[in-house]
Amino acid sequence: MMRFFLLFPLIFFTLLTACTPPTPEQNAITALYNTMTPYYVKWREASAVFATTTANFCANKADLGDVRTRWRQSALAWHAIQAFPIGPVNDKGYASQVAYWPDPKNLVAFQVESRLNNSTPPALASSSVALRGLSAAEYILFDRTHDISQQDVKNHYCPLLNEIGTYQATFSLTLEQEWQQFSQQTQKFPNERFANEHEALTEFLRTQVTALDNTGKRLTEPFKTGQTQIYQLEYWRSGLSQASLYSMAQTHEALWRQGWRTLALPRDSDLATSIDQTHVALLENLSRIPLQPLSVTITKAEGVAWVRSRQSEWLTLDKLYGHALAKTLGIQIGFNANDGD
Amino acid sequence: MMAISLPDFSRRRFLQSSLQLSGGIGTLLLFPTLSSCSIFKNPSLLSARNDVDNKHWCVSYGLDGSEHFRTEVPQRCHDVLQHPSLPLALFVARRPGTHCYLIDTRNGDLLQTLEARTDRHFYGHGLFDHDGTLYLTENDTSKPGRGVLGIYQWRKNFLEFSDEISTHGIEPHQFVWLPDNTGFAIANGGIRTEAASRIPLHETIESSLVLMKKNGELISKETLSSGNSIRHIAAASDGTLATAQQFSRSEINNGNDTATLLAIKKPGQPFEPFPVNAETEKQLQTYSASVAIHSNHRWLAITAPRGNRLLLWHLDTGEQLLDVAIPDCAGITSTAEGFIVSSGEGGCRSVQQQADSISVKPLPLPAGGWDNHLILAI
Repeated sequence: MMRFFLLFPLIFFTLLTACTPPTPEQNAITALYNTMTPYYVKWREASAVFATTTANFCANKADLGDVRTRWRQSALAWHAIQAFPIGPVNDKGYASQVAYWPDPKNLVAFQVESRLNNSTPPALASSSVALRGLSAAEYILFDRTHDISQQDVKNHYCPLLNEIGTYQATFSLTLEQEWQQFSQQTQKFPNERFANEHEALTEFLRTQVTALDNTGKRLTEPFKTGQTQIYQLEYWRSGLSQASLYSMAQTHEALWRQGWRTLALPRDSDLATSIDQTHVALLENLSRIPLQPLSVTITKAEGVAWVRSRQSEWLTLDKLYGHALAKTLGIQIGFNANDGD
Repeated sequence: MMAISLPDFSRRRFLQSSLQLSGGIGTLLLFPTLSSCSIFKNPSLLSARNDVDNKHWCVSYGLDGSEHFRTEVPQRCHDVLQHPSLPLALFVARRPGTHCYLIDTRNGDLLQTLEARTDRHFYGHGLFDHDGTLYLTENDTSKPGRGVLGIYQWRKNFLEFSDEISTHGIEPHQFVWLPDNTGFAIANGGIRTEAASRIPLHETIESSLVLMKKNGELISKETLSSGNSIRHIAAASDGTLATAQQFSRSEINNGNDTATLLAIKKPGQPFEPFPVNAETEKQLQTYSASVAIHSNHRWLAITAPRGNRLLLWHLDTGEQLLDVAIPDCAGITSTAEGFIVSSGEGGCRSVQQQADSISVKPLPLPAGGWDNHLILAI
């Protein structure tokens, strides 16, 4: 009888705990993870297709248009992840192995040509990160200093192009696995990484604000010296600059809609509306198909004005997330990283 | 300067007065009473903090999360100095701050705001000597960047400027005592800035590690070939020095994306980079914030807020022992067991040796806003 009395509260509290609904913060964290996971899957799939198409292209079984299209799909899939590089991408500094930017000294071209002139090059995995990713492949496939459609040129670049395709396919698979592991290990609190939900949300928001800030820099980089330098624009060779921005903007909007908005709306509906509207405007403006690539238009007044407008929208988002949303959620971000001593 | 009366609260004086009052058996009874007294038993974590409204605070917490004090101040502070014998702490404003705040650590009362002299600002760091003499690193803004150590003495319960000596370098930040308090090892950051500005005047960095006697006489001056800004420094009990470096953004943009973020100087040996794995170093994004040494464990640690990491090595073998993600990883201080680490964004952690591994555990302290220095006052 005594044992029953002891057992009853234990069962009651166990059931109570099991029935306790997750907090809004826990729901938001789960939603943010669930938003990102498909992007990793998509990138892994795009990388595998790029590797296959590259091999086919080099074996004359696919044309240049095919391999360029697959490269674009892989790059855009990667940029969807770049909008929120929480976890292994940031922790292990993986980004430069996929997209090497900024590249003020044109290191990608230098490294590619140096490697191809080396009769015994080291394995790609132990070579410069500038060689391993989509930026090096972009140089091979799109740079106008050589014509990859010519067979002899193709023969010259194909060994490295194939290596990059294979490396990216393997790397994207590894990263997806690491992401899955990270997201599973950090969804229950406390865990090795986060003591509580607030810590997790703080790191998430900081990561996203940093990504927004970095995207703004992608647009300012060509104008940094006071003169327009199209070579400082990411993807100036392939003309993918605007599309890559759109890809990142889509991820930011999805993260907002699925995760952050659920936390912000009950606390500050005006703020939620402001962020809604900024996302809509940015996506709409980025989705308009340009007549010419950004690397061409930024040399003209209209193009510069377009860039300034998009910069302004990114900056608005940056501030809305980094200041208003952070304050609403009681989060302090980038204190020493951005303004340390 | 606020006029205050420094209370007679030194432990020595407290003991002396207690001895006079009680004497004999009372004295014997007094010691266990004192040793169990909370202010002596429960160590305090002292640090500068900001809140989400960007207000600046001087704070003290027990490791159990209890708030000892939280005093708002006008300027953002950086390092904290514990007085050698009195329950006082000095919170030093970072560059180009012009205030130091003398706080009564028993209750958080602001006892004195020490203001920088004309043509000087503080660099966030200082040291108390055994006798209470205070040394602060300062910028001579009449010749921007020329580093000086301001010397301050106690006069009528106030800290007052007494003298200054050159740091033999530019932009001095943290400095530590050489063995037996005979002199200083100073991290001269090497970046010239004007008064009231954090913007570099030039892109060049003239950083140096200076060893000098207490009277200002130069013992040695060494540099790192990588040209990083040497900002922070820690000393082991055997006199080994470790420095943490930062790199200027302009140099990153010129494509030089590697930096010697950690360096070491063993007694009698040259100042040289500490062997950090290149990939690890790159993840730190050219910025290490604080450095600490645990002399008993022979641990060397740095915090990296841009890389969001705490890294720990064996001081002598160079073996990397720990690489753990801590967002906006900031201050670090030694404890008997290991280290306590703070964060500008998240919660604080304790790092301890446990059996064959090193554990990193959350502490029940408030999260976020911790500046990149903290001390444990016992």
